[in-house]
Amino acid sequence: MSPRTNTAPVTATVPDTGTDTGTDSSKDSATAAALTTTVVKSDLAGPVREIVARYPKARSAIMPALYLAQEKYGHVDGTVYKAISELLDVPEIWVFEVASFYTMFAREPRGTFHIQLCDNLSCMLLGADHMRACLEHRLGIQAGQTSKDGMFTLSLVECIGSCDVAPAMMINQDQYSNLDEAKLTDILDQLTLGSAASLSDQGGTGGTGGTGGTGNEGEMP
Amino acid sequence: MSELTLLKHIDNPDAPQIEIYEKSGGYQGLRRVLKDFTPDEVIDYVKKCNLRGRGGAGFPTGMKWSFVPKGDGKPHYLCCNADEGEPGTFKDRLLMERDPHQMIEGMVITAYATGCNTAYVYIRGEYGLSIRRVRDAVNAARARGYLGDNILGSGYSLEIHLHIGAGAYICGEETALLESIEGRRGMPKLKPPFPAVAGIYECPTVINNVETFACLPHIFRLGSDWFTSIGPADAPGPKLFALSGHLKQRGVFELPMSISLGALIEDYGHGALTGKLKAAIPGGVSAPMIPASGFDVGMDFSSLAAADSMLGSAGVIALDETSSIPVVARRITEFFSHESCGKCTPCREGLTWAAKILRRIEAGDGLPGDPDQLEMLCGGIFGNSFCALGDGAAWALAATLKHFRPEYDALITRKTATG
Repeated sequence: MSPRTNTAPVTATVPDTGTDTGTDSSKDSATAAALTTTVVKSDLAGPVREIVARYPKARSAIMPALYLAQEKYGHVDGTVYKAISELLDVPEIWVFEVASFYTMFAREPRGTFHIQLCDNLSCMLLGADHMRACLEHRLGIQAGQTSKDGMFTLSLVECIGSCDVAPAMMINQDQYSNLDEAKLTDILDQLTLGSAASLSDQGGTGGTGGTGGTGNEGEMP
Repeated sequence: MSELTLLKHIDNPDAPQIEIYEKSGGYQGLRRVLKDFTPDEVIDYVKKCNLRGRGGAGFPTGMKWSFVPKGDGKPHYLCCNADEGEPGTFKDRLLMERDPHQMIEGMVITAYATGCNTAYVYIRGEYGLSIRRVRDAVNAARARGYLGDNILGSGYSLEIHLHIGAGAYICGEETALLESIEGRRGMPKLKPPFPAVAGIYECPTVINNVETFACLPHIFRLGSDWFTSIGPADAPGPKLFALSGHLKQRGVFELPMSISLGALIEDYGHGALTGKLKAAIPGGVSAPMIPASGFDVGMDFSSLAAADSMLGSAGVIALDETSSIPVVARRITEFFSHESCGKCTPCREGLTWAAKILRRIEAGDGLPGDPDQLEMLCGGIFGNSFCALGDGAAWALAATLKHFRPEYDALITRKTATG
């Protein structure tokens, strides 16, 4: 694995994949300068065995195993593909073709905070392009880039299902909605200071009788 | 408006808890099914209700189940399609986050009817809270004997697992979803064979949408007469509609499918945010847009089909008079181009070129022949790919040209005149 450009934990960039064992206990191995296939295999063997049992064939465990690795090391690369292929006894190319198809697998390090701004139609209609300009200006980076200090990666993403509370974005796993310039500034100020959990959503717009917001509850991992 | 069913408890923060769900009649439908119905009788009952799939295609659910072979000796699998990614759609998310046991109970009923002992919920990776809520609900249901071995003493067993998507819209297409569960790239396969015959690892597999499953407990608790009394005869039952875009009130609304697009927008969306509306997309961005003059169309499968559009995911996006239709078309086409899996040439190449032409028009560099070129591209994509992604993209783009061609011409002419 190539040396990481930052050592901050980036566990929050992957969804909770449902394995309760062995993924949070030994992050220290993630900060090692060079991971080996042996180390990755030993880190993932237990949870991967548990995952394989859910499926008729081991190949099905490739996606969940990649998530586990990403949760632990921040991103996935050749060392991880090889380790997973050996654990599942599948060709390494099968692991790579999955990792390179799905956009949520990071094949290079991302910042501590992965900002994913939705600019699809419903968000675009309510100002996503302006939010993008604000973010790029504030962070000094373009969409698709990571800030020099390794704190922020800015991505534009397709619909995140927060259309009723547009414009919206995700930072790691948290949803932030009804964005405007002032709210964006507050969120970034708080992230820089430590936590913006208080600004993530506790509910959508909600309507009357028979409506609900999308319930974007913010939960900092 | 009619009484709420699917969203009845949506504003109760305790609704995800199984005890609360049980108190409101939860799992009574399943009890009734396991006690009084054979699997075939469940399928016949759902056919009688004329429940149609809520994921987009509107295929009759009972008929879909009846395609699953019986006594074939193979394991059968059930999949819940919770890969909600159609822009403008956020109804399944609400169900999973706020009242997830409806979907779980519906899955158990379906699995019993179709002889499945293993089920997967394919949830998109971006829906972190949905993932947690569904997992908690599965665990709670297992602890109460609604899942696992010998459910409620019936001798029937089912296990539900979660499979988390990773950012590919195409995995909402059922054959791509199955490929993804098998640990492959989400690339659709030609049908037939249909998943009901050859799905996960070549075994019979049933796939339904979150909202379809959520209807089932109520059907078996309240009865077919209740279900068919709601909405039009060919599209009965409660339906969720998501409203977004230039509307004063946005959110998810439960209504019968007899409502018109205009009434949905005015009575529930409270009209345009400012000024007047120009058009609306009735069912996610793959549904062709409808100009304001056509807002009296009914929000059901057949009425929208007759209006050259579709109900799709029932995610309505309203566009006001300030919206530039060529810009909207550019954004929609870029989405489909990005999400094309790349397998079929007409979709992969056609959408790439369409997006390039649309960007050129938006930048003021459009050529007089560009709208015709776009129409030709749409014709070349439509019907020439394995799955519906290319069709939806071409259909949506063609509708913008059909209804708003002068907007394209104006952008191009202005450039020609000045430059």
